[in-house]
Amino acid sequence: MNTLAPRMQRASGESRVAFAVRDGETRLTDLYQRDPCRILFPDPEPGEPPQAVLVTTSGGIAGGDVLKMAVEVGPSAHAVVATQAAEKIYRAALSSEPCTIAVDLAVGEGAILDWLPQETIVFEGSRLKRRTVAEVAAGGSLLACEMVVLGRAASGERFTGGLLLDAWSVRRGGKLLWTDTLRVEGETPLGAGFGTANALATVIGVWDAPQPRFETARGLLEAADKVRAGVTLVNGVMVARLLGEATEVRAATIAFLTGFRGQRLPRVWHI
Amino acid sequence: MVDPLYRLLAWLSPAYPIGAFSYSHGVETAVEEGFVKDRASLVTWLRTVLTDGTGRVDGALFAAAWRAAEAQDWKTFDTVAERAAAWRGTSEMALEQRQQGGSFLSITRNAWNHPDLDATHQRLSGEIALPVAVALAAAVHGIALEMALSGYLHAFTANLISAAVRTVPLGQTDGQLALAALEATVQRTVEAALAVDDLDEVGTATPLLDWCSLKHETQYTRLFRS
Repeated sequence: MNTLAPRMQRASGESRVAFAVRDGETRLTDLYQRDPCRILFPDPEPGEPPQAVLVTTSGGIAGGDVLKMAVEVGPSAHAVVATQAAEKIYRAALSSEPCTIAVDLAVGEGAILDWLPQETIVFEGSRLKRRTVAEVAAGGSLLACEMVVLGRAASGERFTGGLLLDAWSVRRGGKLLWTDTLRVEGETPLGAGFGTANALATVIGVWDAPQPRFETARGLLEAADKVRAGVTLVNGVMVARLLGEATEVRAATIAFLTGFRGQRLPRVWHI
Repeated sequence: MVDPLYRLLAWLSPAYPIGAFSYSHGVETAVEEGFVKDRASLVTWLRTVLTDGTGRVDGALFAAAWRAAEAQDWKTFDTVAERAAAWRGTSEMALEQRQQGGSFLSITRNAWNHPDLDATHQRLSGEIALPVAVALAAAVHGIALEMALSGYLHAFTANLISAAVRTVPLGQTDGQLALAALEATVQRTVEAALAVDDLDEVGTATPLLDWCSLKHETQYTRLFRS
């Protein structure tokens, strides 16, 4: 028996949510959820777009789990999607397959999606492969944030013996605009690696006219003094990075996104 | 009988006019920020850039592009080329690879032409990342993958060392000592690239490299374009 694996039963969860404009307003048009993936719909603040909050009811993800999440925002619709809590990836038995998470984001013509999940914490010895693919139609806008924390930072845990593969692709009109894969396996490297940082947040933006947004982001990030932050506009995609100690990166990311969006992050971020 | 080594040496020479000398791939900022301050820290920095950063990704893309071109599988080749163009962390790293790749293809079409170079230029409208362009030329001119990739990663490493020699500054001998110290690392990076059978499994663990490249965009005094 393998004592490292608390559950022999591996989870295979899925959630799918779609928004579209009906009668001049963004409405929920499709919803599918299979445990441990659930979706909540808190009332948005007055004047704000509909919100979906993804929940992993198992409280965390273990080796071999397979999760799929899909978000679709139809033409001219506007939605905000977040996660209820930080996603925890538990230590996996060495023999087990990595857990895999597939995230599909589809943004229609003239639609706006704010994809704002909270941080993913990879525990020491955990093994995760996550692939996020965003397909943004012409005229569509996407603002996406991902933050990963290596080890349970609060208890001083380091990440020295696991696998984190976090892949991002942004497609527009069927063409691959930008892609990047973070792969941390075992110790983080010296030199150009993480330095003393244990957390990295990435904010990705896609718009028809990205230049002014990029300049706004650059101005906001110049104020981030407790993390190493910067932003670029590569192949028409805005990519901002915040690297540092986990609590500082979270605080700086919240400050940046709040300033950038000109409104508070969804309530789940503040609980 | 043509000697493939002669061509490879020509294409990867710093004298091949693709403008390599004007790019530091973040080294200029790494020096400014104190990550690279002497020969030892330069070797440590470049070792990660090779094994866990751009060397890892571009090595794998180079091998995939070479194999597709060798097999005349242009559909797969174009997919690799698209991925190579998109897989750039920052605007300056994208410029670095796109400008040099375009120049490389254009010059090589003039001096060492081959119908597949013209056809690829047409299909991709001249937009090609450097590792893919060099892999293409090597494959269609019959230069073995391992030798071509060793040469490519050597040239990449030597160019960044040259940038560091000018920026830190370091002595010329220190530069060559750094290149010698990285010989085994380049070899390991080649082997890792040859072993890749799925580009989806390849990634980098070098956020400080990306950060230096981001910072370089607003660095006050700059000798280099990246």
